[in-house]
Amino acid sequence: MKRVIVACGSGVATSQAVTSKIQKLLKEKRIKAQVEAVDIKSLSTHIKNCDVYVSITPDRNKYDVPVINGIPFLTGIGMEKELEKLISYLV
Amino acid sequence: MFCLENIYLDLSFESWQELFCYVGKELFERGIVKESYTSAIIERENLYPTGLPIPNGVAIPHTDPEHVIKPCIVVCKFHDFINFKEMGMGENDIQCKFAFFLVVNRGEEQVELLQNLISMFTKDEAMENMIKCESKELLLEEILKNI
Repeated sequence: MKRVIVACGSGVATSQAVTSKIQKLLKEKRIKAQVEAVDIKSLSTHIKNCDVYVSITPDRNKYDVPVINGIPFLTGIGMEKELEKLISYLV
Repeated sequence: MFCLENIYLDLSFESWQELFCYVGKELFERGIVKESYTSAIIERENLYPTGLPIPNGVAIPHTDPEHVIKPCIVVCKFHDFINFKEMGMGENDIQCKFAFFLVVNRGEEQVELLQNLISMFTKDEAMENMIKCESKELLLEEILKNI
């Protein structure tokens, strides 16, 4: 199963909120994937074994995996477009 | 999570840094946060900005649980606007009318509250009502109605 990670610093549940939303949307579309919230401090470890990285923090680094913008999953604005992109990397 | 004493209306500051110094000092003096809170939220905002890119500008400043004594959500309404950097890429300026300081220490348990709060920020009618509220009581009422 493909693995999607969402990273943010700890503190409040921003990455959990985004994770929960993505899980719900993928379930509605009947797409199976493992979606997890991880701490930004351990990103370099997790990025090695994930298929997509959902970013909600400023990050100009280049990664080997596709990166999508996670903020639309928080606000709902532009969410459909970002979801389509995510799905394209999972199927 | 919400109460009248944690609502600050009609604030005017030149920058979010000044706002944070003011709010941090207030909350420290009231025993809600530790002395380390102010520098922690400023540092965090610099690294991970919290201006939500939605039609009605709202920021959700927060930091790590270790600086929190009494969890709550502090609501600030500005006389005009204060600029925050956009959450996500942190490039654009978001003109914010409100800042909701999420002074929480068990973030993982607050996912639903956070989602409801952000959902409220995207409701034009709720935000328009909140902008019109001139008293703490009315603002609190409007928030509780929508959460």
